[in-house]
Amino acid sequence: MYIRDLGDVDAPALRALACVNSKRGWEMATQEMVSVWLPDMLGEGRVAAAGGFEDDELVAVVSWASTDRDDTWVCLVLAVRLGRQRRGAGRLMKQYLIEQARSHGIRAIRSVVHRDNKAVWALNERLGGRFATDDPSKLWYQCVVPVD
Amino acid sequence: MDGVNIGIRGDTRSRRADRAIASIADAIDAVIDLSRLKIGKVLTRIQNRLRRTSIERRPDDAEMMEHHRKMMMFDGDFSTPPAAAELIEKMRQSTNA
Repeated sequence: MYIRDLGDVDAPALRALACVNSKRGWEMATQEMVSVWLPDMLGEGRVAAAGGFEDDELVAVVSWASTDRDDTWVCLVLAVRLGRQRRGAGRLMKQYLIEQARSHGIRAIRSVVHRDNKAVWALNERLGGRFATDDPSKLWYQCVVPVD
Repeated sequence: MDGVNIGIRGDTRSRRADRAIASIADAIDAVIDLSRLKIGKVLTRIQNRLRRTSIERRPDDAEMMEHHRKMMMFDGDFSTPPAAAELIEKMRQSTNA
């Protein structure tokens, strides 16, 4: 898999990137973020994104943005195409983001993780992530991964 | 259990059992661990039918979907919430220690 930054021209590939096959709300929202929200936000230049490609096919995406803190970026979405999951693509995308953050002097990457998203939860734990929540529903957790 | 709903479907071949299952679903409004139930013969039959019945969560309602979108920052507000700020500070302190 090779990774490159995504731009406007990648909007059609993002819209076609199917990454969930469930009707659980948080997963449907993730799909909506990848295929609707992200192409629009990329077009407006409000967020950055990188894609993982295999045989010129988009199989994974990570998106991020700067925050109100100089030392922190927020990871907005990390998703892998159905059929390509559980093969380490998500880990490679997150590591790519960490490398980008390090090169910009960022010290931490924040994200939100649903409590049932065991794959992303475990991935962040392996990267030294810590979790806490102030969501009244206790469904969503803030996660902070250090950028060493 | 955090407002989790369940839906039950399947042909149990028994109206009485169907009604009993439906009333259980309405009453508990949650995923139940059937193995922990210690109940009498009638309910055991229902329990056995439930085991053969596919159980799935209903799609979240519109209000919950809006909550997901808010938490996922669809609104473009990327400011740091208090819980994350606390984590960042703890991380910074442990790094400096």
